[in-house]
Amino acid sequence: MKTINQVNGFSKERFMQVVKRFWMLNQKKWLIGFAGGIGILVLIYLLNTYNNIVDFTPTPNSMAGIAVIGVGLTLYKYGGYFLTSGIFNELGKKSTASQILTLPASILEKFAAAWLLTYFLYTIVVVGLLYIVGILLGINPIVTNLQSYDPVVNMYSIYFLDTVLTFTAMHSVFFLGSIYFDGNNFLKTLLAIVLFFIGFGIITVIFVTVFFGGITTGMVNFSANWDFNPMNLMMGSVIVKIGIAILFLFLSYRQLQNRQIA
Amino acid sequence: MISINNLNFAFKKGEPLFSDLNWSLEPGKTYGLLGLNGAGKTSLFNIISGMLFSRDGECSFEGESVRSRSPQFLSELFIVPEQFELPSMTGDKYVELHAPFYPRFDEELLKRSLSELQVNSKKKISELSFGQQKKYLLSFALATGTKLLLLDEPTNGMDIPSKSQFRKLQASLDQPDRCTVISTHQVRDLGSMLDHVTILKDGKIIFNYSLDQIFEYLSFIKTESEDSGEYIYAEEILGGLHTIQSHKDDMRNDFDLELLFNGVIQQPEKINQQFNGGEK
Repeated sequence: MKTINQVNGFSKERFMQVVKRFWMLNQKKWLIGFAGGIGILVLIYLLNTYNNIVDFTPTPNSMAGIAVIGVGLTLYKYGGYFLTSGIFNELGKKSTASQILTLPASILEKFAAAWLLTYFLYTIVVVGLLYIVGILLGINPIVTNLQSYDPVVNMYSIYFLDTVLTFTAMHSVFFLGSIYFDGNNFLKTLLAIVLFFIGFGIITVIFVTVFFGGITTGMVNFSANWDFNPMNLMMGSVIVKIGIAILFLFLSYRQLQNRQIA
Repeated sequence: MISINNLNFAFKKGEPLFSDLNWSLEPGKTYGLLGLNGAGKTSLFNIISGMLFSRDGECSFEGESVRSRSPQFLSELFIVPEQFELPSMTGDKYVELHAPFYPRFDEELLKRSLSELQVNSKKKISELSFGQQKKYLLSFALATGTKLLLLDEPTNGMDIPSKSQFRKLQASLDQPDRCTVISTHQVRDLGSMLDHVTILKDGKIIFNYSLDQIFEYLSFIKTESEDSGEYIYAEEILGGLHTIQSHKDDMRNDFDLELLFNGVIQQPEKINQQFNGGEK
């Protein structure tokens, strides 16, 4: 058996072994998830096709495909959050935490291996599959295009880059949740996000009330100062999402570094 | 090898588990870490393996802080916890995934251990009984060749023949660079494997001597009558007393780790006094 030469710096060989270990531990859950996702997409495609036949309505042939890709991108996001939440589930239990905490690899290697699997490889595989599905259904380049040319479909629901960027930002939040929480990581992270937005909303209301004399009496005209053209909006959104991703990935790394046995 | 200096640790503020703890471990020795329930044996293992961080004080492995959990330190450490869950995969797959991380992993030794402890590595390890899983993990632990091996209650859940097989296996290994620390309540099972005894009580090490020192300063003598002269500690046995006394050259030494443990817990000052300038 080939053993890995142990060095304290980053080791590619060790990193690949950690990736392999993460994959082996999670493959069952992931394969079931992929199979379930494909099943849902097939069902949606069949339902759309069936409705078109029953109604005898001359809808465009690409409608079923667009629905499939739209749902596929939604599943990509939420499925990804769910699978990401479970990547460090060993850490959440006393009976398993020692196996990952004392695994002879650096914190960076464990962190990067989990990120590679849950973000990079996951995105490549799912988007690749959706692209192939798009080709098969004759609706490409919808996945990689910035907008849909079908007037029935809202461009933002299938806006590929926006979906990937949103996934990038939210993935990092769920990644932190997978390290931070002990068990039920997905639900706890979701709850934390909801609580954050509730808190944020309350603080905003208080802020507006205190500094602008109340919501109803004093309207603030932000649009007068800001240029709301679509390009600026998109750039702002990209910067915020990348910023969130970087911040939460940094916090995740620090959390993994300081994680102690449950 | 492992050096613990002035370590302070508490789970809750104001309730210290360890206060100014000092301990050092040397290669080539097998340490028995004994203590009552809640004495902190498992927590001490978790601190030594870098899984718990102390409030202050230092725990280092060959001069490097264990808290950094560096790959080089971790590749020289293997811990078998008391409670564990093995992943859902065959024993062979587990080896394929984990053995490469340990530079001196000995596959032949693993095969020998598994065969002697009668564990089938072709089966899914998560589906084995707890005792079988423990035997699997102990075999893997022995085969890693790490310099530091921490075994928390290693014989819990094992059947009687397996306990004896495990003792034989461990004794048969020539590991001059390895330091093994065994935390246990089952002193009768593992007493023969130890060459150093450390006893924890109320967050402090109250006894820390090698067997050589113990035999040099103490005698364990079974007497038939209750009038057995001056003893430091005694327990009733069938037909007499089993006593701990100051060392006596001319008496047969019936060493009993359980008796020593009970004696140290009951009379720590008296027993330690023997080592600190007491009568030989």
